[in-house]
Amino acid sequence: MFEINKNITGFIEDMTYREQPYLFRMKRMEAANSLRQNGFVFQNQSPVSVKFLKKKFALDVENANTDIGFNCTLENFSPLVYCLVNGRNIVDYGKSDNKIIVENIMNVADKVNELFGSLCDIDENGFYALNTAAFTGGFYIEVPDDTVMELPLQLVSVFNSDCDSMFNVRNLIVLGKNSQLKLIQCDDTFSDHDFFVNNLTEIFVREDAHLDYYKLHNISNDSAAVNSVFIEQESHSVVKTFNMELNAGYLSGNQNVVLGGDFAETYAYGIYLADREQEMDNYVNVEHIGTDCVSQQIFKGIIDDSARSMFTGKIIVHRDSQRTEASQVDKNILLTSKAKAYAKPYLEIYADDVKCSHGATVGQLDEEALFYMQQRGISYENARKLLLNAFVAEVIDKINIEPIKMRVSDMVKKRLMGELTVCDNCVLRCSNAKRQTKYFDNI
Amino acid sequence: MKLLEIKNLWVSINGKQILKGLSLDINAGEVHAVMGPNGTGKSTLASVIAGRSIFNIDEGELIYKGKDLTKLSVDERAKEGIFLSFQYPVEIPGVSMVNFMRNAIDEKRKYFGQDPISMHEFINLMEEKKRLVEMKDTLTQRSVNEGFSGGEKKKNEIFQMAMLEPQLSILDETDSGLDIDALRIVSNGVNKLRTPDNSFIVITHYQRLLNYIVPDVVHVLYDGKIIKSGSKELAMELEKDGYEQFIK
Repeated sequence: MFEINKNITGFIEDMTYREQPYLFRMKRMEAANSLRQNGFVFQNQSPVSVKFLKKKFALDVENANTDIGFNCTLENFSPLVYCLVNGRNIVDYGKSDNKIIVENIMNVADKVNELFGSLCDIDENGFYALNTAAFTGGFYIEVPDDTVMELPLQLVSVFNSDCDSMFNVRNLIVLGKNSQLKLIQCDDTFSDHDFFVNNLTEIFVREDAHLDYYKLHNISNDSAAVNSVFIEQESHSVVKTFNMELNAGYLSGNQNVVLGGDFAETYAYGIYLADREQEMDNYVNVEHIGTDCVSQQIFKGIIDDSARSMFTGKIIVHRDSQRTEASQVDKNILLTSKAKAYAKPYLEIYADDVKCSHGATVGQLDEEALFYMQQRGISYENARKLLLNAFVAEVIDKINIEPIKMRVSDMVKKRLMGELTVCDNCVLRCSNAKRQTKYFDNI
Repeated sequence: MKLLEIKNLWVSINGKQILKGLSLDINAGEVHAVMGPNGTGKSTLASVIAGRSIFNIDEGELIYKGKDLTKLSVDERAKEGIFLSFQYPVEIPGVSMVNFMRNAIDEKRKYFGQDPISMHEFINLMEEKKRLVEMKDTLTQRSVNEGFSGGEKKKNEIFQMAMLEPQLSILDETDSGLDIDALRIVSNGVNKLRTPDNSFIVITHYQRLLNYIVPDVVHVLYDGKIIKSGSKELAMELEKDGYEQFIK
């Protein structure tokens, strides 16, 4: 059992006593009880994750400046943008669209009554319980039935504090029948302090709905993030998720997909680039309940220095889920002898008529290919970069928003060259470089 | 003018002696065939000239264009005009032929203080060289050698050779696994690249290739040494009577 530090426990107590809708108070109390009884349970209690959890974080960062200027400079890219400041206040940038509903989850307890917390089991993971007990706000997104969102929707979480802080952000997204949405989620830190972000997102995808969900993680080396996503898919729905883990001290992605309806498809793609002492963990769990569903997981990691990664991929095919097609691939390249990558496939298949495959590799760069390229006059350094880019290209090529594909590919290149992924004026510019003063002009 | 001089070369790998005092001089414009049974050091010779670091040079000299070749890295040797056509070309998934060739050409140009090649110029160059080896258009749009047949891979080697315009080309068993049509195409490609300045080392088991690429000198490599050199007729003799006649 792992003990979380005292100030987190205190904050949880405090949250249950605040004035709030009955639903949230009950959920918080259940979660607080679970934490008291079970302790703080989570899968990978590695030294790195525990180090971050033991840090002293402020939890009650109330007075954030909401006027933070935000300007994304991706060319040919003009999504709808909403900002969430310190997990509390939503700021929209004048381009709202009345086709969809975007609200702070704190204000819509009546709408989420049935859905809130219905996909995550708080006893399973301490981070789920912690989020449920201590969340301070988050996005509620509703795409009505038959609504096709032409523009992508970009949700930006901005964190700004004058001390080391922890944030618990809770999102809930509903895609109505036959609706379509492209969603981009990024976290940005606006100060040099260390942050621990614990995001939990529940997504309900109704019949025939399509969702593309991009998550870009690029936070400082002294910051940690846990991103837990729960997706429930009804029949004929299609979900693609893209997990781009470019920089963070500790990063843990939990993705749980339940294919409840028949003929649903889910594609989970991921890239993780870890170096120095960083740790990046991914846990993907796809549960086939309906028949004739397709699931695919492709994750690629490049691990440098003494960094560490862990990929746990689960596929569960229930007894009546006939004609299931499920595949899973996790490939890793280790650049040093101290780098570590763990790949753990778990397949539980109870149906007869299924096609399932899995593959995991951990290896070094192909020496023969390096020599071949050098023999053509390409320097060792350049050859190495070409090979590493090629390695992650399989995942990047799946991105179907061109400006994001270009930017991610560019960020990956810079990252592999050891440059910071700082891009002027763009919210994706999220590493711990010194912030330019122009961002604070509005204060 | 001497392009490459190899003097008393002793090479080992993991303590095992492969080359045992090999000497070879190649003048500009000459084609040298190196023949010999398996395991006598033919491919090792090619690798050592290209600069593969797993081999240990125990003794001897490698002089290329008057410079000590061992002082240059693999890519520097390539930029200086040494090209190795691999016996087993490597597949590089995810790196396109275009990107690969452009990097190679631009790095070489940079090495000689030239500006990068323009896209227009590059495309024209590719088209011209593709015709030389009768290469399908689609192949250059794919990843390097990925999913290429054996023959396509060998054609691709000659295509790359044509693109990079080397001064010393080493063909390491380029003929192995080629059918007669592919052999003709590959040989034609090589013959068109023969100039008074360019030299070739053609490593082969069979005399057949030498009907197409006619050598100036034929060497017999055995047990890490050249035991016999002669004119192109030597290849015929080897084909007819085998290597044993020269082994004492």
